[in-house]
Amino acid sequence: MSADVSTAPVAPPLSRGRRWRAAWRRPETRWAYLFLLPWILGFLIFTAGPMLASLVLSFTDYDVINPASYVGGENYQRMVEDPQVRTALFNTLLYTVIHVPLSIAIALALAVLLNQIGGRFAGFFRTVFYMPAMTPTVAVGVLFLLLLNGQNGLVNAALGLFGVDGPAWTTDPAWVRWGIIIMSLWTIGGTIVILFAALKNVPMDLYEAARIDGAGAWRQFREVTVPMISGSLFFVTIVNTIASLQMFTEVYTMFYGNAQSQLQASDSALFYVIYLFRQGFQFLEMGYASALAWGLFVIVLIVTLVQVKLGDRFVYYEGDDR
Amino acid sequence: MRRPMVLPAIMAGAATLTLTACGGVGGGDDSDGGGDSQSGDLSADPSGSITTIGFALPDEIATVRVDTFREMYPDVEVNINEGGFDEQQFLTSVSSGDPTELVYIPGDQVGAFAARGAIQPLDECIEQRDIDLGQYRPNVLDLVQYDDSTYAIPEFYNTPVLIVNNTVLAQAGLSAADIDISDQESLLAAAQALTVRNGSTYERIGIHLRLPDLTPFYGVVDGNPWVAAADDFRLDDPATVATMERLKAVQDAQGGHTALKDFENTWDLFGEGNPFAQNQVGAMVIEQWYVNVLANTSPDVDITVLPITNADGDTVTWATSNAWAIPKDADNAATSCEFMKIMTAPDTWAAAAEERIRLREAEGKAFTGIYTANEAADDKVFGELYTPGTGENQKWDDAVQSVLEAQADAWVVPANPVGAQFKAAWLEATNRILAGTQDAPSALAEAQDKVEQALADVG
Repeated sequence: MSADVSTAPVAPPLSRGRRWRAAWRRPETRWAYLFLLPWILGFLIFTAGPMLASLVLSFTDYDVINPASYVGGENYQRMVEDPQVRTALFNTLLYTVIHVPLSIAIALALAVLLNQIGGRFAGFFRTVFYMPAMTPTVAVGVLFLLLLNGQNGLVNAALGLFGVDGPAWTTDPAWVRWGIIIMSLWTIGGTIVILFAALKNVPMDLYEAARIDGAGAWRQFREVTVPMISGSLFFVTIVNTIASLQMFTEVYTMFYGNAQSQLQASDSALFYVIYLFRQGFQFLEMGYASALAWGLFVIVLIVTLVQVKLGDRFVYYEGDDR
Repeated sequence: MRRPMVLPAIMAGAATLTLTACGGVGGGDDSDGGGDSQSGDLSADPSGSITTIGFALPDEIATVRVDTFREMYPDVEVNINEGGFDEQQFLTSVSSGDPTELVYIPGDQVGAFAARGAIQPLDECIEQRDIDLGQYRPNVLDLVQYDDSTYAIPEFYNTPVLIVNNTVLAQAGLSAADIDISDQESLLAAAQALTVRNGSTYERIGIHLRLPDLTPFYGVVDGNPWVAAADDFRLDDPATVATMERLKAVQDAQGGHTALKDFENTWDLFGEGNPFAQNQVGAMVIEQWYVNVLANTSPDVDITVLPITNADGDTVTWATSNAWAIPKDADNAATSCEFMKIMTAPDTWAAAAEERIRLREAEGKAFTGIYTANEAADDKVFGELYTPGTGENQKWDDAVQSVLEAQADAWVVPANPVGAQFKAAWLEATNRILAGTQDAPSALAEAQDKVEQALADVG
């Protein structure tokens, strides 16, 4: 006996509109949207609205006080020709290129160390490594002005123990960028926590199998650990890259936050978002500042797309068909 | 396991963080710039409440004056939002149409805010509330008058003087007469003789010119003020270049600007461990308020205060001030007008001075004056309240007389629509020149271009 499946009636696929209406008739769908409503309203009012406003303002001459007047693409043309935009972009990209791999490498090393620690000290060390990330960013800026002082800062005092005469990290333009990179390592606690959690999820039997196959510690790390946590590495790379491209608070506090700190600002401390902020609120060029904001958005978008494309090659997702 | 939806989430996050930075300000109304005229009865009795931003209450000079207003008008609620002037806070409040009643702003920014209509002209307020502008120093009024209107009421009158550390000079076999700011040769010699370094670590700066803070002042000393009029900036003038090159030479003679700045950042400028008490400086050019700080924190320090002279031996100085203004669309202008009047009136300044005298006498310290933009107030303080110090306090009296001599005729940057851009331009140029990353002619030419571009943008 055989069933004649070839003649069984097949319902035609529902159109998208009919599918949506069918779903809407279900109470749980309506409840879901009701619970989502506060977020949707918040997004429309506080995110999408300002974004659209800044897009419109980027085509205007707007000084915050008086009505905006349409100037077409002038602000974007000015952005391309502005030498300080190039300076700010160079500083920001250089910082990103150095900070992101450096911070992830250090965070990964510390996460691996934390993963080795067991017993009652484990929680203590996890807390200690995460605590700096809890420091308010303004406080970090002020703190590092003291730590990095070339005359009596702790960083140079530490270098002095090894016979190194440390530079003027906060006042010498040749060293300001490096001082900022040192400061940025203070807040890698979040990255450590994410990578530590990823390390905890690596199945122990993979290490056991690798050991049976004769793999040493380095080989196990390279062939087992890194692939298994590549999803987390990919995530922290993207998030840290975006945060680095938008670096603002600490550097602004150190070099631009008040009349006194502005006195030691050098071109080396001019980051993109700081330049954007000064144009908007100090020089009353909000139209230009809006164009700068969209310029950064496009840069972030391109960098992220490139990272995602590269991620397709290197990131392993458990259960993926590749 | 499916791949997480990372990209959309990240794009949304990136867009949010980047773009909302400039999108939340809101639109302006139909003002045509240049400020709204004040309306309503500005001579009405003060009432309701007023709130200020940009002003703080750090000492009795501030608190006594606010208290004086409160005692005169007990029904008015005065809210002082303590803190320094914050452009973002001020501009967003104006843009929202709901600003505070009063704002306390740096004098060099009055012109820019006036030109864009962010603050109101005060002519009617001054007329209806009988504020006697004749009492105020004419040069400080240049800071706050723009396009034939007065936009702010100035408070203090800050002018640089030379403070010499006699202890340090005696150790080096020098005297105050050996330090002449206008004479490069003697300045370099004194700076080198007084500076003490141990390798790259400083023990003392010889002559601290307070750069870049006071850079424009040295243009005045050299007979070349950097601004001739509201639309006439001279940053690329050969004389300006020459001034910057000689300032760099002085910094270099003492080990270089960046190292000096680093050492300066370690100072406890306002405390008992100040650089004069610690002999960390041989001589310093600084505004006159620092004499008051030293008289309070280090009454025993051995200093001489001198006015600064140009090459002809004439006293020269540069004045700055902060000022009260009424933001565009602010409510309760009548009460705000009265508050500005009371805060800067001779009797109010005198009351503040009396309180300081009482406090200083209680601690056995000298009263070294308060220096205001209201000349009638200064006449009252120094004519009726000030008692010249004698004995150990003779040096403080000498200091006061030097300050008063220095203040006689000060140059100010005329109110102009690009104050912030001008300051940013000369600060950036100065830092590049002094750090040696750019030569003076090209740095100053770039600075001049920026200011002229900003002027053109403002129209």
